[in-house]
Amino acid sequence: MAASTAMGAAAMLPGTARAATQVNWLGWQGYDDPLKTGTFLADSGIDLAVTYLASNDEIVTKLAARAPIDIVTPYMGYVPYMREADLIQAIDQSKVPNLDKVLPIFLNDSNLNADGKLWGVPLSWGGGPMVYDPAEVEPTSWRDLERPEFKGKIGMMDEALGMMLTASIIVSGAKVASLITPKQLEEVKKYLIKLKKEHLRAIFPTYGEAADAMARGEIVMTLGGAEWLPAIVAEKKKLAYLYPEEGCFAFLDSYVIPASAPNVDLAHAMANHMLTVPAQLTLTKNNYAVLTSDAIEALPDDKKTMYPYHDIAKFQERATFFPMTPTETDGSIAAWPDWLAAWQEVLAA
Amino acid sequence: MRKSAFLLAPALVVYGSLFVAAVIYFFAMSFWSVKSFRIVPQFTLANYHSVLTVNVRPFLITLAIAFLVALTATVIGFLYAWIIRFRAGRLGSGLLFIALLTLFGGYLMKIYSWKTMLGGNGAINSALIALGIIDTPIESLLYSPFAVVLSLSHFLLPFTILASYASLRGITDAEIDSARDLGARPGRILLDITIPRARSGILAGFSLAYLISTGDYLTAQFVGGKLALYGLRWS
Repeated sequence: MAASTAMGAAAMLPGTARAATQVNWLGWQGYDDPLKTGTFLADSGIDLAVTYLASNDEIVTKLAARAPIDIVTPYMGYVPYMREADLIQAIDQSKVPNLDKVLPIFLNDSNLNADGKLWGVPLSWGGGPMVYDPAEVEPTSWRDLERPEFKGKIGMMDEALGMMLTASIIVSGAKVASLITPKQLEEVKKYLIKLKKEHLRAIFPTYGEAADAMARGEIVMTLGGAEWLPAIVAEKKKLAYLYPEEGCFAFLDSYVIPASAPNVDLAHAMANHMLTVPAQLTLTKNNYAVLTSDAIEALPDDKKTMYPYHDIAKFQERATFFPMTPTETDGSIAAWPDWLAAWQEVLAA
Repeated sequence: MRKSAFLLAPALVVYGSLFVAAVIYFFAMSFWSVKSFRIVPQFTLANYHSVLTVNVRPFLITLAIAFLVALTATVIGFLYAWIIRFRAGRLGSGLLFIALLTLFGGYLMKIYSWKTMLGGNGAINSALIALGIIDTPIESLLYSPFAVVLSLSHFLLPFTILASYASLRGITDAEIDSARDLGARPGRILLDITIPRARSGILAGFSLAYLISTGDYLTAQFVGGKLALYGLRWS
């Protein structure tokens, strides 16, 4: 695999004694680690300039300003919007042969595929499961959060999209939880305010803080969460996660090439290298999930159980890669600014 | 006159371009809209509507919390400074050094310390249970307004101590001795001489603590539970 990457890069950039080309990378911290494995950057003549993200919105803003960026790593929900706004370009799959190793559930995601083309190279994934303390409760449904015996023992995160999507799954009844009417959005808001006032102990700034609180016995269940939370507090307390029967959201981050990328070939080479086994395994250092079949096979034992690699079908059944809520609508569907306004009301209540 | 205006010019240019112009620009932006993740110069009052409706409650809560923090830090800071100035004698310098030393601890360190101590299994609840004062942990110690006031007061204490101590140093022993010789009791001396003479330091410490508290949001995020502070909403 590494050999094919090196060969691909060499084919695109003939000669070995060349000056390094600056390639601008904008993404989430840790998603640049795969590129630093082996001698890929040196062999490809890449001088990697990394900028870390604070939000997905930042990607849109910078691409709209036509900033000279070669790779971005958005949440898959933003990809359709960026495609429609002509901010990104389709992936030339012949330049990313390692795509063959990506599990179909990720490669075929509807957010990344349109017009018969692929618009992002899958990078890492996860869901928004409920995390719980199995010594205190064995939940099956999000409705278990409302059980009276756990009042004041529930936590959630200060994260608009994840919390609102999860609440939408629970109460909106919409087929696509991210595309709901203003009336359904009102129901979502009311549910979250009620949950906050009657059952919540705290709104945590990070997932790590929530896991820490659960390890200290302050909370026993969370609205939303992440698969890796039990692992980071395993020495203090045994926690578990589940995808409740109503389902949950899933995310799929990817390498996406902006329409105005100055180094398109190198960007493809980077995306291809990111899918090699050593590169994928570096993602696990930060508890991110891998998504190629051979990387899953190569996972160390302690990482194999962090995500449901053994039962991807169950994950697919319960977790959904929702499209992003539109930023502007005709009023029949609540727009993203309406969601943010509703979230502000939840926090202020 | 011309010369002084000339000398002031560089400072005025820097102040005008980096502060005044920036503030005017931000004020103008407060009337703009957000479209497709971008701020566009399209006039709207929606931002002010949001501030004056949804965010009134967090705003008032923030002012109340900040007032309690400033009051707590100022009262304790003044008492500590008073002990250093009038009661500690040679130990005064040591006490002042200890107060300043806490500044090296860092802001997040203090928050995490309180989080550990105030939790259900924390030192305070454990001690109260061990002493037989309570049977079950007091859950409202952590993730509550109390925890925010306590953590912020602790963080701001060195500032109020320093401000009060600076003013108290200006009071001479002769003033206190004169009052005592004239028959004034300790309480009267405190109310009629010490506090009025240290007024500027007390007010400076209070103002500093109040202003820092109103803009703080991290403390509430880590130990405030579901408390909605204004700074947090706009962070």
